[in-house]
Amino acid sequence: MVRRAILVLAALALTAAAVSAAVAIYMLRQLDAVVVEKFNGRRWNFPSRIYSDAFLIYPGLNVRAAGLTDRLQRLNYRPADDDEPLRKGDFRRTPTGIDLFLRDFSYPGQHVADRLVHLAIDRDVVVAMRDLRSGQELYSLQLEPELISGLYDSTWEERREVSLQDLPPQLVRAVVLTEDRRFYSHRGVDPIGIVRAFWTDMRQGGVVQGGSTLTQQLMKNFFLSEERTMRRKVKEVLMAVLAERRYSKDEILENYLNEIYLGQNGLQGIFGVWEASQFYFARPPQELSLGDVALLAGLIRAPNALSPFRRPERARARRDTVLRLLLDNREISQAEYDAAISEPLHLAAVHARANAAPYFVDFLREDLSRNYPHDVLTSEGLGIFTTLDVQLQQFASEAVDDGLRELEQRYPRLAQRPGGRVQAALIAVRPQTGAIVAMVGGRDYETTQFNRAVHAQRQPGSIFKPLVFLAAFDAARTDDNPVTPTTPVLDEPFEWHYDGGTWQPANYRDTYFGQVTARRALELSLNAATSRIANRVGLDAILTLAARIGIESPLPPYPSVVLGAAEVTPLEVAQAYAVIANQGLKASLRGASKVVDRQGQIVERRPVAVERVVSAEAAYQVAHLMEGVLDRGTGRGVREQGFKRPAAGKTGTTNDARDAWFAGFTPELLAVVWVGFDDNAPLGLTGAEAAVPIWTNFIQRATAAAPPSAFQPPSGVALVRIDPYTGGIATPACPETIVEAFWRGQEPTVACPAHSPHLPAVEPAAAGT
Amino acid sequence: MAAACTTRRAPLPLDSPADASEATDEEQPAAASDAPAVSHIEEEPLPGDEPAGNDADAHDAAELSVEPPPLLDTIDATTPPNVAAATRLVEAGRAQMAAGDYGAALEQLERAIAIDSGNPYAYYYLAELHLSHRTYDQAIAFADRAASLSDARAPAWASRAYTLQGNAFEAAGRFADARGAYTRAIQAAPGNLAAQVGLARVGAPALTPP
Repeated sequence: MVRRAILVLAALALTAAAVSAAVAIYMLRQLDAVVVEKFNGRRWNFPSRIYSDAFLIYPGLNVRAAGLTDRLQRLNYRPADDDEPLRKGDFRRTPTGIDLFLRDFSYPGQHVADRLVHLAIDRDVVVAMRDLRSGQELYSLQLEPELISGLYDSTWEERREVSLQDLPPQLVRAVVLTEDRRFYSHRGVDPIGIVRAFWTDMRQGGVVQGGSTLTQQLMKNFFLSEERTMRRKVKEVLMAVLAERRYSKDEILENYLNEIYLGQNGLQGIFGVWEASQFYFARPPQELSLGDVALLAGLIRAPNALSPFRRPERARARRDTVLRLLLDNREISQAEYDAAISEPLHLAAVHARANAAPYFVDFLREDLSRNYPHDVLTSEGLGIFTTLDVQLQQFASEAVDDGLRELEQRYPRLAQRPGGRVQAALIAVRPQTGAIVAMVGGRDYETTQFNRAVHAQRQPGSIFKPLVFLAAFDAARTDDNPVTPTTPVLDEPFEWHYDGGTWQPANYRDTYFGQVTARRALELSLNAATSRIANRVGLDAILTLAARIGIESPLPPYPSVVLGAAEVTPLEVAQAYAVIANQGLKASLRGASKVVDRQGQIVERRPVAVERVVSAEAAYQVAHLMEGVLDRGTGRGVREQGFKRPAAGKTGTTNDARDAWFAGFTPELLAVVWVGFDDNAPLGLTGAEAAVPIWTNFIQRATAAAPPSAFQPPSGVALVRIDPYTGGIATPACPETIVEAFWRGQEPTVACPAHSPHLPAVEPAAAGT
Repeated sequence: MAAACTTRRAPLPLDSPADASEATDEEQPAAASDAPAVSHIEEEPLPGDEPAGNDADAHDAAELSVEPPPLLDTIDATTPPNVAAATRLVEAGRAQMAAGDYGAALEQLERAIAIDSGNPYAYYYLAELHLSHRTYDQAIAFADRAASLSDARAPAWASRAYTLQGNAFEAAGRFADARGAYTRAIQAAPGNLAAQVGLARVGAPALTPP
């Protein structure tokens, strides 16, 4: 009986053991499969990186206005001391200019080599550039693009994968020694190491070595949470053993060095030694000194507590401990140790990485999502090279901030309104290339992410008027009775009859000027006179042209549209005005210029793409009139604020002053500014009052770096000096003259008959908006 | 409007040379039987970054053009520094094009425009780059800009640009426009043989220089 009971128990025990073994094997296989999948599959999500455009330095550039020092600092270039030899990424002011050791960098389709250069500077302007190693004179230099932001899913983990052989052996040995000195002799778990770590820590009086092996740490980071439970620890150990059975030590170590968390830069987590090397020292690992290497290896234990930015003394002490460890283990000589221990901390400038252009990044994300699925954008590590200029973006943000703050100070009612703060948008583009160089979608991204530059549908008001003149001048080429800048127009109330109704355009403050020229009608933004020209050109022609040059929002087929009674976005206005600025060629606006994959191969290229959408001559004529808006018309506040370069623009104010606009351009740069309330409440200010100061502040700073240039007339335009009142060719007797642009063949042929006495003197202050 | 940045994108000149069949058949050249046929547009484009390569007429025309002064000779002591820097970038881009590195050339030419938006040479070589990649609409538009910018100041370059534009119109099957462009080229530089040959090819007698 007893024997039978024993047999039964034995059988049960064997069965239980067999089942347990089967379960254990099953679980091990499961764990093994997980390990294999992780190692062989995609180990990390790589956010796409968004870069600015590369910045060009050339003789003639004003380095102060271009913010060269700011650019260098954002790129982590380090100001070097006088007696220090320059290393890559260093710069130094000299009596004649700046010595600059440019880093090498990869740009889509090209590799730009490092270069030690001297910029000879006279009164802030680069006068010559020379390669200090070859003596060669240089004519242009590129600064590497700035990282603007990452496109990530929930957390921004910044890492660059690097192979073991591309890391300096000293760094690899330092990491192994500090974290797991028996790494090459254990099988994933190291009982001796645990005892040794305990003993070392006791002897050094602090945590110098950890008990977990590198493999265990990797398994924990790959798969497991931070919780300190026995179950998790067992899993970690089993997986470490499994990983060691399947993969070489080098594979495990390489993964570890790419995986480890090494700090935090604002929103951005710093992972892997390559990224950490850039973050702490602004250099790739290959360029680190022995002291840097020791510091980096020492940081693994507690990156934030030992942060050299926040706790330099603790970081230095930790570095010295690691150096001692290297010396004790004969990894370095006494001389190397002595030299390294006296090294200062070569730290990069501390700057929390904030997204400098959040609205632009949102715009880009939206744009790219048409071609790239979300998970590709957030995990495949694409490099997205954009047209953004970070310095101009900063100028734009500051112009909006300062402008709105000043408005609220001058008009306290704006700040006291309960329905929300007054908002603004600014978009700046290069008309010739369609490059969007700056975009501000609102005054505070943290509060509201609605991108007004791209999505706000607002009435354009008088900012639409140049399109009327563009249509008129374009039609003039083949018109027997063409509209020219000197065409007389009656600025008096009139009725425009159309299908189903009658429309009566009224001037601002009901002030009318009688007979004026087409030029004065635009310069003074006269509604009645502009509407008469529009009536003459025809609504269809104007609407067709508006669509062709970039107004994509549907425009109502009613005459009032010619005074801007429709809804458009600032981006559309920028596209349409860019056509005027680019002499009738439409360069499609673009934020991205190239997309590369993680290996640097070009996935997509978005080059400049142009299309002739209106004659160069008509576009030039309109731009020429718009210069007058700044010099004599409603936009003269631009000149009063001190901006003297050749520029053209137009103000806009809508009914009840709900929207205030200014759109204008120099030959190289165009900017559109909108100011208003999100809920469409009356702002009570004109474009000249609210938008012009912001525009001028921006354009003044944004154009100051380059030498000024003038608008160049196309070949089909004749520039003739005339008497502005009679329209005749100016004679020496004319008291006032102006240069006017005509289609060749339409220029006046008769000299000014006399100065017309009956034209009323025009008071711009009482004119339109 | 964001769509403007994607939906209106031009064909990528370096990645996908336009198929020759895209050339429109808006009209036939009046003297088609006598003219050297623009047969190259029927050939398969070369892959990758290679230009279409067989725009024999375009290249022949370039050789026959009135030779403008070398690009760097346009720089003198009075040249504004940004214009000089841009012109040097264009020269570098031209050399890269000649070496077949079209991606780098495009980069240089776009940079030249960024620092000197009125640089006719940058637009000229952009037009040439697009013509060689059969993105004719782009070639036409850039040649237009190049011609417009150099018309008064550098007639030889204007003539060259109009000739290039004529080549692009011709390759795109827009023969009436090609005639107009060649005519303007001859007006700018009466000795422009390439333009005269082009004009004859598309069906008009060569103009007698005024």
